[in-house]
Amino acid sequence: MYLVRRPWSLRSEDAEETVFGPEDCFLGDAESGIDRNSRHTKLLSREKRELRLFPYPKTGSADAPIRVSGLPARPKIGLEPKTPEEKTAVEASGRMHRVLARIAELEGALDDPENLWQRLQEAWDRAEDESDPRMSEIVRQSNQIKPHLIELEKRIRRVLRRNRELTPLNRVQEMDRASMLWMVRQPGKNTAERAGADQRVLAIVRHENFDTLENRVLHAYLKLASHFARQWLREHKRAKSSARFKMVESYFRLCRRIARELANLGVAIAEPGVPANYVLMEDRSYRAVDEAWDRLLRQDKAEDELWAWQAESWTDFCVLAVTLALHGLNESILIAQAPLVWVDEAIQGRRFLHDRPLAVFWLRESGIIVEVQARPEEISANQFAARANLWLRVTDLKTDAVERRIPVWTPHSFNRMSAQSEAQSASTLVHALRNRPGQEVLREGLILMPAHGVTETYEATSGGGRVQAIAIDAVGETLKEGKTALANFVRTCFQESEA
Amino acid sequence: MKRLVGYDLNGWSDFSARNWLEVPGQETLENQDQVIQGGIGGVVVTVKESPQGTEFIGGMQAQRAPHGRGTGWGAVGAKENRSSLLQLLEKPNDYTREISSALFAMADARKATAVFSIPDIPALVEDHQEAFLKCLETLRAGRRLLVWRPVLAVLAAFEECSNVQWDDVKDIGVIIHTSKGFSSQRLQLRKEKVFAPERRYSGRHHDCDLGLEALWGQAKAALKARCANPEKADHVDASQLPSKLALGHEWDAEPLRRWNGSWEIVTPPEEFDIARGKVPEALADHLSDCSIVLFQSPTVGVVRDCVVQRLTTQLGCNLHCLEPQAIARGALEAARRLSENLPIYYDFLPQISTIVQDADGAKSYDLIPTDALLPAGQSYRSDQPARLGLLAGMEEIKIHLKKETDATPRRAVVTLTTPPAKNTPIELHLQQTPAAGRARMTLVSEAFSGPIIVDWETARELDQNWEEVIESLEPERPTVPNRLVLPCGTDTWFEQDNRPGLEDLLVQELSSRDPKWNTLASKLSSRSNGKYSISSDGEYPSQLPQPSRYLLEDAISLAEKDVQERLAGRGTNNNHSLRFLTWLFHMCPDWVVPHLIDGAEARTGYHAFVQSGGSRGLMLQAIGRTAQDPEHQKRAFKHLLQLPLGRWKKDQIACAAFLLSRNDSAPLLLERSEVDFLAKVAETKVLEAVGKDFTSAYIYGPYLLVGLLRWRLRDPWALVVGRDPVADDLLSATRKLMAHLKRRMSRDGNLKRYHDILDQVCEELEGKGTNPDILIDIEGLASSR
Repeated sequence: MYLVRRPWSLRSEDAEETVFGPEDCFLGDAESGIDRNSRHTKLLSREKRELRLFPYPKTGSADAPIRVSGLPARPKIGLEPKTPEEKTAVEASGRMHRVLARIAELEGALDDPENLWQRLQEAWDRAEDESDPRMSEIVRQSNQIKPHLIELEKRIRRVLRRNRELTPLNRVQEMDRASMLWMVRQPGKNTAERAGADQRVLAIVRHENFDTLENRVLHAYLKLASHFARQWLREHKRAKSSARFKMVESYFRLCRRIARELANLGVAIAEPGVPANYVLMEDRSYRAVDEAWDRLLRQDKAEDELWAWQAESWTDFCVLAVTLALHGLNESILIAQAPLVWVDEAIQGRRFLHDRPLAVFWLRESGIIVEVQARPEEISANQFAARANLWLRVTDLKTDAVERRIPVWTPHSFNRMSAQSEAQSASTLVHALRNRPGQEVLREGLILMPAHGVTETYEATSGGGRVQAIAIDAVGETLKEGKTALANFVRTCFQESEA
Repeated sequence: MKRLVGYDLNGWSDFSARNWLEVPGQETLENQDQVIQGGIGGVVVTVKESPQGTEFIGGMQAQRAPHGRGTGWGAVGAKENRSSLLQLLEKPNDYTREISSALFAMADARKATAVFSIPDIPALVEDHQEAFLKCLETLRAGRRLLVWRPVLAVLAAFEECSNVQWDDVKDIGVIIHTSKGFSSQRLQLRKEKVFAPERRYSGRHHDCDLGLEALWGQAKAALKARCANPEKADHVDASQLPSKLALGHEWDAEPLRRWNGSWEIVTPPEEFDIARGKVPEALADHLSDCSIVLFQSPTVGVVRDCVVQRLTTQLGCNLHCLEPQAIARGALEAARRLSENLPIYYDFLPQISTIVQDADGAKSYDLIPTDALLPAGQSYRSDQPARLGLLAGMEEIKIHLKKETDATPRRAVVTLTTPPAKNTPIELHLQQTPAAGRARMTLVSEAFSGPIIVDWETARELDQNWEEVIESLEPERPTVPNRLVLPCGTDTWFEQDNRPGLEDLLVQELSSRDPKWNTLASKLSSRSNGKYSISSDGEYPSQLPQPSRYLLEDAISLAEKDVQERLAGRGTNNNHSLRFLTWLFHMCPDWVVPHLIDGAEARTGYHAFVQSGGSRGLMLQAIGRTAQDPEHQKRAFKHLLQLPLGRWKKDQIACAAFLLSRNDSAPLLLERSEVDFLAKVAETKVLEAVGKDFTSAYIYGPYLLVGLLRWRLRDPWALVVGRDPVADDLLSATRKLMAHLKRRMSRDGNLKRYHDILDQVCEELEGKGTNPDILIDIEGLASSR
């Protein structure tokens, strides 16, 4: 197996010697049968070779299936970053959440499949405005669970625990067998003598106790929810004036306050996965809390997986961005689209699955059919050599010209990539591929890479091959500008075709 | 907020209406009615890439999918990847997953109150209803209900037709545009808290050329004609364009991928004239004199106008046209009413009948009251189950069933693992909810460990119609032993073998001052060749000369005088004259009988006739011989029946046996409880004979038993083995006696005759008597001993 640091890279390195770092894409080129069970996902395959993507290690370094070091470790939910490494990790986590938020909007859009792309477009347009913060589970909970918490705060469930204590004689109300046994063993002829100098005997005393399972679950939830809320607030600092921000902020305070109260009452914190008791199942508010806790725990767990497969999420984001860009063209009509199957739990970073082609647009005036082929199967030798797992296939209805293909690379790394250098490297590959025999025309290429808050577009040409690199983010101005650049690229591609 | 959703899945233009909508990146829109389209000419596609392997997807995503659109699309274009909803809906039982996916695509009904529309046409069988309910179950809907499309059209019309004065509307006609033509239904409007339609009959379907399938065929032909190669235009078939054109939707042009991957832009024809189909007259007849007629069709635009115009011409009244999504909106309204416990509509239950047998024979029994009308969603449970009888040892129960919705009657056979040890009643219960699938029929009985379900589906279809089935089940009535008439002849009247005849004795005694009544009575009670002087009906032998009759009449007068004297405290001091009179059988003067009964009732010594205990036997047997007036018979029975079982001796039994066997009126006087008592007496007497030497006294047990069987004159199915437990007891007692006799037959050859008679008694108990004059034989046996 050979490792590749960039999809368009012409250089491949030996897996044994290479150590990947934060500036690399974790790609590998291997024979199909080799290390089949190692942790990787198959991006492309042709004949006996396949392009593999390796996950980011949760801890930041790993020795298997490939050697990795220097990556940020996945930060804990709600971590306040102190060290530069932590800051990098938290920033990366924020970027991941923003990408996931854009993808998650597909689920809502699928509720009305007739207007799927239009509704998704509207949601993405809203995301350009950072003062309108993204929806998330904690936002939903701060709206839905808050009334339950306020109600529970007033009536935290308590039990009366019976303890045996040395009690002044005049306070004794109840004695059990053990107390009496103790009593008869004391020296003395009567009760007063047996009660000793301080006139106390062992007796049952009842104390209020709040450390019940349901309260422990409540406590655990409040802790976790406050972490999620803090993380959300930190990721949406620019939306401080929005109602949603204020709502989450007040929820964060409420969670912390009640958590403090519970800690003062001596309530412990429940371990995840404790079986629910009667109160957790039957009391409306406690049940709501238990379910909300479960959802946050699952989200926390799912983020481990999503962290590892951020590159896959990024590809999905790019697939949606390209499709939306095509959908946004004035002349485009969607004539076919493979059903998008939403999965509740991400599968190797993927939240939706689809057959191919993902979407087919008819550009009416241009007389062009454009197919969006995401994660293509049965690819040509040139496609495999290009190592892109998103392609546009362009058919000109007006001429019998050979079909054109446009590779769209969706590289992902922890460190920011330079649009200029990447575009130039990629254009070299395009140029090389143009000279290879094949059934399709290859003229353009597109790179969609994370912008890390700085928009950047660069077009490189090399011997008739044109590659545009667009740095795009999943929120705010960088999303807006990235979308515009993407739309321009798509438009220029087809204008050229017309010419 | 309660989530509510209404589905209209018809395969032509599918919609769901619901009260929420997820907004990407925002809070869910709640309590706002939304209509979600499921596609025109709905399809379900099979996708390869999904968490579960293959998965079905319906709705708009399926419609847009490249799946099944031809080989030009590569592997996904294979035909089997795309199924038309119309075909799936024809066999919903086989395609529940596919149909569920089509519903899911329009609304995720998890925890929601969901209403699904079903066509009100005879072709929609209960099986299909169950399949649709299963689809809603798959979606994990909280509350589920199927509602007929015409009903939903009316619910939608309340909102859509705001210009209608619903208070004045009584009958509503509803026409629904279907694949093959139109379906029609008449509904009445009930005015309660809210308006609710009332459905009293099944809807009707009228096939015609204006059906959606016919329109689709025309549209497809028109589109294919516009292709470069109409012969190879499969890509048109696989597209939604024919459906769009047929339903009147406007569209511009669309590139379709051909089999070889190339593209062809198909444009709609400038004009699309639908063929000249005629609206069936039966449709107009069905909906005549309705206050208002609603029309719902998935068509729009020109096509709709054309269909409406033709309907209006045929019906001669204005139609209120509803939008294509009206049914879904109606379903949402139904879901709202369901969640608020308001009436949605009232429905009748299709009748289910079975066959029961009673005294009058086999007859059809309706399990559902004819006027049963239920609110939607409420289930009916039969308050009067059909009661059937299960015989001891039966291994299977055959139940005949007929449904109003099914032309062929069926026979369900329920096999019992443990046959019951005794006869047991069983009840056939029925539970049914309108428009919610098959009725649940259960057999309940003490003999079963739990209720047994009668399955209509596995029941065998019968070739006969219901009337023929009933006729074939009409059983033969049990036999009734003939009335006993002791014959008379002239042999005893005249001298024979040097023994004086009755005539000689009469001449002799009438001339005497003190007639020897005992001699006369003995002569009367004697038989020659099995014949008495007077028949038990009190008739003379037909050949008897008149002078002989006068002689007897004179003797009767004299005896009457003597008996009257005795009653007055004078006359003879014995019962000879009375005995003489009683041996005249029914010729005995009627006035004597009440005195006999008085005698039987009186304590010994307190009646002129009963001066000693021995006379009581005469009283009782005499009553049996002479009582022919029903009033007298009634008194006699009253006396007998008040006696406890232990006081029933030979004479009491004889009295009852004579009365029952020699009169047609006597058996009719008895009530069932009295029959049961007498049967107990007979059983006891029969069992008493077991293990003992045979005497004539023991013949009276079977005598009474057979006499009692004549109660079948009143209840033809009484005392029949297998139907009546009393008869079972009598049979077992008789069999015991037969077994006893059999052992003794080798020693006493005469017992064989008795054994044979008992065998015939058993046959009579089974209702299959072979000897109608069995009583004569028994009487003969009694007299011979």
